[in-house]
Formats: sequence, C-alpha cells, structure tokens
Amino acid sequence: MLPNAVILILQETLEAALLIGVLLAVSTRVHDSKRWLPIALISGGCVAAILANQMGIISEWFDYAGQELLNALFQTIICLTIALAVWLTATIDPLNPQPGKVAAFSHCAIVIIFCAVVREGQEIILYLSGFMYTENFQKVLTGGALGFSIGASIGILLFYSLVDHAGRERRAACLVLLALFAGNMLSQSTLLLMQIDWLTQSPPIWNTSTLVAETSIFGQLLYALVGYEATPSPIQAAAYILGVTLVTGANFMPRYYPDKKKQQVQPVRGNDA
Amino acid sequence: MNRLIIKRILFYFGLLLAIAVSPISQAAPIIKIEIKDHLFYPSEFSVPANTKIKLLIINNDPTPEEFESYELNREKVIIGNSKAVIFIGPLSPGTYPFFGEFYPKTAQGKILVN
Repeated sequence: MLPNAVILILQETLEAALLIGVLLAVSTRVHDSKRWLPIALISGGCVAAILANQMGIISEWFDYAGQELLNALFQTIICLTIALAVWLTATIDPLNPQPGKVAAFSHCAIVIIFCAVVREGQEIILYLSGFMYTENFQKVLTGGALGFSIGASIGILLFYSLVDHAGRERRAACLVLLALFAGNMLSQSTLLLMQIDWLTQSPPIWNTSTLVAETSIFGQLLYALVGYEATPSPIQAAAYILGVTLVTGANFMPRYYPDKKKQQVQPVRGNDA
Repeated sequence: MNRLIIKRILFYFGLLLAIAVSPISQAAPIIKIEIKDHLFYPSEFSVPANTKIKLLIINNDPTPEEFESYELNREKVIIGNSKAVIFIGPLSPGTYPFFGEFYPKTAQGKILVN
C-alpha cells in the first residue's frame, strides 16, 4: 500500500510542483509579490475537494464524458494562460516593471496553478477517500505525505536551479519549460477528447516504449516535465506543436510588434533630455 | 496589428478544433467490465483489430478506482458504485495491459487485439 501511495501522489504532485517552480522563477524576474501562490493553492484545493465530492454527477454529464471535458477545459485554459503570461513577461521591463502588467502576470499565475491544483488535487482526494475508513489509511497517508514531499522538493530544486542562473539563461530555460508544459497540456487534452470519442483516434506516429518506457522512473519524469508519450497519435503531436508555438510566439511577438504607446512616448522623452 | 494577429491565431485554432472534433460517434461494439473487490471481471478479453470499442466499466466496489493503461493511453477515475465509458481503438493486433491505479496489485487485466 505504502509504495503505491508514494508513487501515485508523487505523479500527481510533480506536474504542479514543476509548474510552480518555473512560475516562481519567472515571478522573481518581474519582481512580483508571489502572493498568487497561496491564493492559487488554497482556492485550487477547495475547488478540487468540491469537484471530487461531486465527481459521480460530473462524470455522467454529456453521456459519461463530463470528467474528460472538465479536465480538457482546465488543460486548455492552462495552455492559453501560459501563453498570456509569457507574452506579459516579454513586455515587462525587469528594471522598471509596470505595476499593471506585473499584476496581470500574478492573475495569470493564479489561473495556471489553480487549474493545475484542481486537476491533480481531485484525483488525490478521491484516492485518499477510498482508504479513509480502512486499516490502511495511516499507511496510505504516510506514503502520500512522502510522495508529496518528494514532488514538492523536485519543484523547489527546479526553482533554485533556475534562479541560480543569470537573467538571460534563466529566461531562456523558463521559456523552454513553459512552452513544453503548454504543449503537454494541449496534447493531453486531445487524448481526453479521444477517450470520449469527440476526437478520432488514429494509429501512433511512433513507438518509443522500448527506448523509454512510460512506466519507468525516467519515463514518468519526462512525462511530467515535457509530456513524454511513447505512442503519440498525430493529433496529439499537432496539439503539442500548437501549444509550443503559441508560447514561443507569445514570447517573440513583442519583439517584432513593440508597444505603440512606448514608441510614441520615447521621442518626447528624447526632446526633454 | 497585434490584435489582428491574435484574432488570426484564434480563428485558425478554432478552425482546427472544429475540423478535428467529431461529436457524432459511430456505433462501436460495447464491452462490459465490472470491478468487484478491486478485481476486473473479465480481466482478459479479445477484441477485433482496427475497430473502435466502447468500454463500459461498472465499479461495484464502494471505493473509487482509476482505470489506467499506458499502452492504450487511457486514464479515468470511476467513483464507487457507478459506471464509466471509455472509447479505445482502432488498435493494431497485440496485447494491451490495463490496471486499476488505486489498487494496482490486484486490479489487473489485458485486452487481446487480433
């Protein structure tokens, strides 16, 4: 019971922990207050508990497709909000951060972490609830706490390894990780739509299960970090590329289409000088 | 200019979704699986290759279970004393194991595709 609880809770915690680690590193760059983290964790936890409690009813929505539709919605929101957050950070000047944009980034971070916690939290609550009145509950709870601690530690480790690097390197690493997260989320959402037959399943474009098995520790870590799938379908791959493109596009867009207001203000400042 | 690009991205994204999403599902053969005492019944069954299958999973236990399969790329929580639907396939011939993630030691099964 104990090893299974460790693995299951670790799997569920890892994704949110890594996402929090990256967003914290980004928020350090834009001098954000980081108040978004407790807000997102508490509100996400509460909504996860409500959804877990109502999962029986939710599952029956749309001819037993409710669970998948809800999770696919959360994943799509995460992907789009990551793109918005990346666009905001690309327009924020770290030496002179605009309060409005910093606040908007905080709101994006709340939405991203809220959705991630709701998604994973409901599964953790449902898993633990199954053991609540059994003799194994204490063992499962101990295993769960252990798995949670390992997941949180990996997130903290990622945060410190990111902030340890200089500005430009850190920015590039955060962008790559966020783009992969967004791709992963959109890819996973298509998988859920295939599960309820809202998207047509097609044969996988490759099979790397002999190289890196999804069941292996490395495979699990790759799954949480970059959304590794041993047998992805073409739609999944297309969604992954779309998510990555959205985020990278959001990062580079301000470079090619700079803020018009800024451009208009600059010559006036020059005259004053 | 920025708004125009965002509008275009959203338009193509919507178009892609509209093309990809097919809400009308074709009638797929139904396979019923029951969960009882953290075991799958039947735990092994055959399905034809290159055919879409509708799995109707009935959880007779009072506790939740999660149907999971890495080979099928499927994952779904089934609340206690309730049922769930999962579509799989079309699949190529082979063996596709599945398990209950909440009770993986006992809840195990496999689908033989031939």
